[in-house]
Amino acid sequence: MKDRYLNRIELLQGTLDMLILQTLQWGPRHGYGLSQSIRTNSGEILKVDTGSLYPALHRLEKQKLIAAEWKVSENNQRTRVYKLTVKGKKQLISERSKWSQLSEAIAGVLNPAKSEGDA
Amino acid sequence: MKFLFWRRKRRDEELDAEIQSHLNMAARDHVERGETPRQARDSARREIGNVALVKEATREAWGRRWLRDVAQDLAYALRQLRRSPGFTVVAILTLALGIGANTAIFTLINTVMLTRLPVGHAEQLVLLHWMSHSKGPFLWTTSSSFGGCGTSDPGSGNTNCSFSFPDYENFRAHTQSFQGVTAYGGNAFVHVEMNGQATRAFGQYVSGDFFSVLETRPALGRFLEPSDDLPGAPSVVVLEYNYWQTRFNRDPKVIGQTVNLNNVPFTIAGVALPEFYGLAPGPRPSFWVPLHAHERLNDDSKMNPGLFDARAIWLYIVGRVKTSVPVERARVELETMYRGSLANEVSETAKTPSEYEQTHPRGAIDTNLGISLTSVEHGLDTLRGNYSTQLFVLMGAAGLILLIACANIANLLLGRASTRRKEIAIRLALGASRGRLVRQLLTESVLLAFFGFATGLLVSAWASIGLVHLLISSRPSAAFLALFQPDYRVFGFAAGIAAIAAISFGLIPALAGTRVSQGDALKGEGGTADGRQSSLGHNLLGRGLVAAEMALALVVLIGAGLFLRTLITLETIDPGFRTDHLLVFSLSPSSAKTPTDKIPALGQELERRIGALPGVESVTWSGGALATGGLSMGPVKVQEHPELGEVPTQFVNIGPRYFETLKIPVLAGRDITVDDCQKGFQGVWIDRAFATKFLKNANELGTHIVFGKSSLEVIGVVGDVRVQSVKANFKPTIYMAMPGGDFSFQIRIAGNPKSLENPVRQIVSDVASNLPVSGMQSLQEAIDEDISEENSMARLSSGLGLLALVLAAIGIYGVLAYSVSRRTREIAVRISLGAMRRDILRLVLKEGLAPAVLGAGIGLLAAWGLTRLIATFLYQVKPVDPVTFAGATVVLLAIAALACYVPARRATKVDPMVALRYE
Repeated sequence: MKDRYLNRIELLQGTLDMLILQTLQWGPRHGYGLSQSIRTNSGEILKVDTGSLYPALHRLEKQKLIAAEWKVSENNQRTRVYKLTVKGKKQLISERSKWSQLSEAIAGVLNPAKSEGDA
Repeated sequence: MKFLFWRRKRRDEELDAEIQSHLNMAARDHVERGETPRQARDSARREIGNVALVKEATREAWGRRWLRDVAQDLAYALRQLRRSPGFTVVAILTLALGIGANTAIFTLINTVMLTRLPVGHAEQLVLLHWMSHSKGPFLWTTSSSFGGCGTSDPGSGNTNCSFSFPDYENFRAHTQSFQGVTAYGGNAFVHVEMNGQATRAFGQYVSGDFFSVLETRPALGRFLEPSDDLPGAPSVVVLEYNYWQTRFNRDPKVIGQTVNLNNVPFTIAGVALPEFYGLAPGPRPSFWVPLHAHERLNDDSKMNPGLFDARAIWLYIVGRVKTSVPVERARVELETMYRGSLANEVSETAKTPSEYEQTHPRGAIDTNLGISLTSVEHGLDTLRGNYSTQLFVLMGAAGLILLIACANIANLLLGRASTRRKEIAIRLALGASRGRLVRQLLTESVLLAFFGFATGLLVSAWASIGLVHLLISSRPSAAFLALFQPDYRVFGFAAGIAAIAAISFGLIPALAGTRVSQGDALKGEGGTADGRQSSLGHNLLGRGLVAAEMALALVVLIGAGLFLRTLITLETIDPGFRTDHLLVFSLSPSSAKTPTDKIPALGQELERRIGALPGVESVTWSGGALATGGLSMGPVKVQEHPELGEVPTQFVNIGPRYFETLKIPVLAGRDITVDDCQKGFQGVWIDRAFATKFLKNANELGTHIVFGKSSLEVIGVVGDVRVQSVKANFKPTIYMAMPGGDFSFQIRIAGNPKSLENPVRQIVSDVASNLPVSGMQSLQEAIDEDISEENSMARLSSGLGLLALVLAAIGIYGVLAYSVSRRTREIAVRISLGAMRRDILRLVLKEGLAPAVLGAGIGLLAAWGLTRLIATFLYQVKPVDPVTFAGATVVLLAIAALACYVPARRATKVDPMVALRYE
């Protein structure tokens, strides 16, 4: 059972929220579209689990970071479409700056002298 | 609730649609990649994983999960309850009775003890007491009190609420700590005459500032003012609202009109507010008159000389403490004033000692009295004093009933939880948490408790009215009943006990029911060895509950038995005279100001004319009917036995043929005749108790009894009589001829005494049209009233006892019936292996009766400890009455055996073939 997840990267807590907000910045999307976008943009590495995606979407909606409405898609399918709110945009900016700080910090820890042990 | 369900349903549908659209789009992508629609659908599903889980996780993101859970649990619980209507109805009714009985009694307690006086800022009002550490002597020559002063502790000397009029004036004039001080002078029973109609009514004497100090306003007209309460002021009266409503037909024009009270004209000044009843919750006065009306309504110069002097204490004083002043400072101020005026009075007295003080030299008068203040926020505690103990006893019994009801429902729930073991095991296996299941089962209990609460409120609304009738007043006015409206405290109380009940009967079965070994439960139900193993837990708990129920029920039963035996004792007691076939009524010529010299002739005329009525055997009068509470006492001396000194005796004033009419045996000498009832008659009758105690039963006739200045010769000895009440003991009694006065007539009638009511009334109105007849009833009715407290306690406690018995029987039956149904297979095996029906019967009976006997034993011990609490209510019955204890135990065990027999018989009817083939 477990090894099914081995070659997938576990998303850090809160990272999925940021990815959703970032993806919605390019325009409103429904749940399936979001998961496809994240997958494509990550070079097929990040596969978003539906069991995490929808709870995250509904949670963000409840926090009023995104808004949802029902729309009819290009192929006549009724779908629930999410878009970024003003509050969500602000949240995204702060999340992004936190993320870059975090990744720099982690990179610093992983490569202390930029050469050691690598050669 | 409905709204919640609806909203949730819509959200669920939306979520379904959203996930469905996700699946559809994923499937379309797969089709575009070349898969068949069927393959595409499968792949999409595979990608998304467990759809139900995704939905559940998403729903969790919505938050308010507990609310949804509660809604779900409620829906589930409702469904469960609807599925077994029999259980639900029994449980709700049981609870409703338990909660209803407790709430009804609490309603009375609430009104009697907790309701505030309906006046402005009742919390500032205090009642004054004086206290002494000595046993006197005190300054006063006369004192009277009217109850409601609180209990005095005999060990700590004296405490009293009665003050003199000068005390009141002194406090009122000089206090700095009180906004106002007012005085209340007790009840006035008067003869009321208006427009030619005469009735009797009772009012209250109050000082002129009574209404202003209590901060209440008149509904009509004006209230008394200090200027009304002066010796020479015009006589005015304030009417109570309901009295005005019934007697004066709500006529607003009565203000300013004249009404005669004891033949003195009084001007009606105003009418009080409907809710105002003075200081004491309870029977309402009909009017209020100023303190100084006392002299006009009574023959004070003769009867109560010096009533307004410093040495007559008869007023209750209520003060309103200023909000800026601490109560303790107010108390100290009054104490200082009081001690000062007492010392002053004593030194005045020393200068001019009265005749009485000269002949009765006494020790130094105690002037070092303390003052204490008690709150009268809830009124004088007359009702509280009279009824609170009874109410608490009943409350105790009702509390036990509620416990039995809870044990019963716990048992029924336990049984249900066991039949649901399989369901619960499956749900646990599917991943439900035990906490969640416990919560679900508890929800069911809470729902039951809620229904029990709602039904219980209905029960209590009806029962509290019944209780008022039974306990406090047999004919309460609408206004009095309105006092017993349930308020927020009653609702809170009912909700509180319902909640406690829900937890107490719900938690144990919920915990026990979810402690399921899944393997066992799923393998098979009951009958086999492992099934019995796991049902043992339930059986132990169930039997424990049965034992507890039995113990509680026995306590209630024994209590009821003791009350019942008291009532039977009183009803079969020999009062020393014949109580049947007697009609009694009273007349008060003195209140109607009939000239004193005309009264004896009036009495004789009435006696002659009533005696001539067909069916009347004999007629007599006395100062008061026997067994109706009246009593006068005093010391006498026996001339022939000076060594006895003053001996305490009770007096009865009697008219012609008294002993014949009441069928009191004349043991020596003769009965009283018309000729004896003259002023200055020198004869007296004594009873056997007097003869035995003071005369050693020798030479009674001719002995002289010295009473005041007169010496009366004993001309008859009669049998002992319970004078004051059928509950009273025989005490030395003297009967004296009574020429006239305020009569109580007693008429012995061959047939039904009530049949002559109208002819007798007719005669009275012919002979003395201005005299209202009061208290006309058969003597038996009067005695019933005398023992009404015992009667109502016996009836109420028997009702509760019966309830306890029924509940306990249901409990034991339920447990056993359930156990038999679970052990059907085991019993079938036993029968097929050769067990006799008798053995089976014994087996089952033993299972049921063992906890019953254990419970009865515990109950006996508990009752032995508890019944002493009701000792004061018992008459000639010991709190540990062996007959009652044995009787109650036998009744309880017999009912238990009967309740066990039904399921036991069913067990013997088990057909092994049918039972073993089943499953």
